[in-house]
Amino acid sequence: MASAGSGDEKAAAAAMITLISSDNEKFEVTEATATLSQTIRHMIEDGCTDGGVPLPNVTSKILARVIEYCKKHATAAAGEEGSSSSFSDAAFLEVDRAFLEELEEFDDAFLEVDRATLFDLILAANYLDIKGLLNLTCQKVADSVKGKTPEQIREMYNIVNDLTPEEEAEIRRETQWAFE
Amino acid sequence: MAAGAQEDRLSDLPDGVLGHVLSFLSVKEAARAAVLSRRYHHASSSVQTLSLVQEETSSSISTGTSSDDFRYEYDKQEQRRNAEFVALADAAFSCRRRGAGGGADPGLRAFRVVTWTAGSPRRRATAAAPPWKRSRSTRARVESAASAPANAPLLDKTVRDRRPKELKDESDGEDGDDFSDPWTRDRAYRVPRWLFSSTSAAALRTLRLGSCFLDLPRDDAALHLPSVETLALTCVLDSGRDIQRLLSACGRLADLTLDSCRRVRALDVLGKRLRRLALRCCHGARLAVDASALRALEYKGPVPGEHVLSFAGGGSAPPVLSSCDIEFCGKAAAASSETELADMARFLGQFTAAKWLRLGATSMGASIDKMRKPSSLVPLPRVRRLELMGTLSSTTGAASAMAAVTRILEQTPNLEALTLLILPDVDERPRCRDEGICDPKVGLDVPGVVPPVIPCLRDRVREMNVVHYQGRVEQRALLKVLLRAATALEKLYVAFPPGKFEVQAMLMREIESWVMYRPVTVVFV
Repeated sequence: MASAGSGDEKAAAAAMITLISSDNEKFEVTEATATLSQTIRHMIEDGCTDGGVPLPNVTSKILARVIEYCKKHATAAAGEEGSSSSFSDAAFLEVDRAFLEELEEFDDAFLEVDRATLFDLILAANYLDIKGLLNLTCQKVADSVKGKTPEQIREMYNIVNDLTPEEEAEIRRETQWAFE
Repeated sequence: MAAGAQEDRLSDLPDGVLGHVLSFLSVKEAARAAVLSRRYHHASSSVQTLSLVQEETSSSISTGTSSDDFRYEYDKQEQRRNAEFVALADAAFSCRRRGAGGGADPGLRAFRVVTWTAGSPRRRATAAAPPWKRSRSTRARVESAASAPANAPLLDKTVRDRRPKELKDESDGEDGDDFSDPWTRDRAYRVPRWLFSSTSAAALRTLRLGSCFLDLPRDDAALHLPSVETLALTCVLDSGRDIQRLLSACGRLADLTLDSCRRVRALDVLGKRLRRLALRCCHGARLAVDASALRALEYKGPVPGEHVLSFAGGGSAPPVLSSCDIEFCGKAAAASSETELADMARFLGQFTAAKWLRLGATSMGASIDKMRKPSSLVPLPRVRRLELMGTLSSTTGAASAMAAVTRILEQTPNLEALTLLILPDVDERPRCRDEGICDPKVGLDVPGVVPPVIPCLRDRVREMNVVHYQGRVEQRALLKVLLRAATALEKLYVAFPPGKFEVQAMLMREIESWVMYRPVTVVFV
C-alpha cells in the first residue's frame, strides 16, 4: 500500500508487439513501449500487428537504440499518471522530480553518439513518429550549428554551396538583418 | 568512415525534419542558414516555429549623468531598441513569406514574440532565485542558484527548456503604462494582422505573446485560429474584451496562460476544455472555466475572492488536478484578515484532488496558523508532494511558521515528499547577509525534544528538500523540529545560497547531527 504509485500497473502491460528491423532481426516490446511511436500506435489501432511489424527503414542497430529510448520514456509516462496517460504534454509539470532528472540524464547520455548514428536516429524518429525522440535529436543538431558562421557550418556538414555568387549576394541582402 | 565523411547528412533530411531542426535556432540564426545552399534557402522559409525574444535591457548605468539625463537617455535607448526589434520581427516575417513563394504559407505551427517595454511591469529582482521549477540534476541546480538567470527568456517553447520561476515581480501595483496611451501603443510591437487570418493561421498551434499590442481585426470573421492549443499572453494590455475575442477564436484551446494582463476582467472560458490554466498577476480578473478536463493549475495573485475562478463541469466535485501551483502575493498573505483567511480556506478547498501542491506566500505557511477554526482547512488526502514557499525569518517567527506548516501537514496524510523553498526577505540586501544571521553557534531554544506528532511525517514522508537554506535561527529551528518528527525520512537534500564555506560547513554538521544514527541520506548542494 505504501508504494501504491508503482504497484498499480495495468494488466495491459502484458501485450507484446514484435518489431522487425530491415536486417530481419526481431524485437519483442510491450505495447506501452511500442505506442510511443504514433506510427505503430496507428497500426495497433488498425489491428495489423499480428505476425510482427516490419520496419524496412530501420536497421537493427538503430532500432535497438530507439527501443531503449522508448522503454525508458514509456515507464516515465506510465509511472506518472496511470489513469490518464494521455496527458503527456503537461507531464513535466508532474510530480516526480527525481525521475525527471534521471530522465534528463538518460537523454543526455543517449545523445552521446557519432554523427551518423544521430542522423539515423532522426530519420527513424521521423519515420516512426516519436515526437520526444525527434525533438531531442533535432535539438542536438541545432545546438551543433549554434553560433557558427555559414562557412563553418558548410565545412562541418560537408554542405556544397550550389548558389551562384549573385544568388548568394541577393539572399544576404534579403537577410541583412540576420547578419547584424 | 572516410567515405562517410563526405556525405551531407544534414541536407539529406526530409523537408519537414530540416525545418524542425531550424526551428530550434533563433530567428536570426535560422534566417542566416538561408545562404548555406539552395536547399536551406527554401527550408529556412518553412520553419514551423517563429520565436522572437527581445533581450531585457542591460542596466549598465553610466555614471556622471544626472538622473534626468539618465532617464532621458534611457528612454531614447529603449525606444531605439524597440524600433530595432519591431524591424527585426517584420523582416523575419517578410523574409519568411517571400521565401515561401508569395502565396501559400507552409503553415506556421508556433509563434512567439516577447518584448520588454520601458516601464514594463516585469522587472525582476536580481536576488539569487533558487530555480526550483527547473528539474535539472542537482549539480545544475547549484550552478543556476549561484548565477540567477536574469536574462533567461520569459517564455520557452520546448519542454527541455523549462523557464525558471521568477522570484518576485512587482506587477502588483498599478504602475506602468497601458495601451490606451497612444504613445506606448505606437512603440509597442503590433502582432501582424495576417497571423489572425484563417489561411496563414490554419496550422498555428502555439501562440505566445509578450508585451505586444494585439491589434485584433475588428471583424470577427477575420479572427479565426482553428488549431491553436496553447495560448500564452504576458503583459498584453489590450482590453479584456479583445482578449476574450482572441480566446474565443482559438479552436482547440487546451493550455491557457494569462500573465500580467491587467485589463482583463470577466473572461468566459466555458466553451473550452482546458487541461492547463495559469493565471498570474491578472488582478481583477474573474474566470469562468470548464474544469472537467483541467489537470494543472497555476495561480499567482492576491488571495482570490469567491468569483476569481469559478469552475463549472464535473458537477460540484473539485477538479481532478494533478498539479496545483499557488502563490499568494503581496501584503494580503502577511496581514491575513479574517475574510482573506476564509477566502484562502475556500480556495484551497477546491483542490482536494491535487497530487502535487505548491503553496507560496510572503511568509512560509501562508499564515494558515491564524485561521480561527482548525476545521476550515479541508483535508488534502491526495497530495503526495508538497512544496511550501515563503520567507522564514524573524518577522515571520519560527513559532508561527511552525504552527502553519504543522497545520498544513496535518491535512496531508498521504504526503511522500516535502519541499521547503525559503525566499530571501524582501528587504534583505545580499551584501548585508553576514555571518551574524546564520551563526550556528547561536544556541537554539527550540524544545526540539518533543516534536509534534504529525502522522504523515512519522509514517510516510521519505524525502525532504530544503532550498535556499540560509541558516537563520528561525530556519534552523523549523528544520530541526521537522527532522525530529520525520521518522520515516530516507533522503534529505539541502541547497545553500552562495555564502561562506565555513558557515555552511557548520550548518551541514548541525543538520547531520539532527539525523544522526538514522538511515537518512543527506545531500548538500
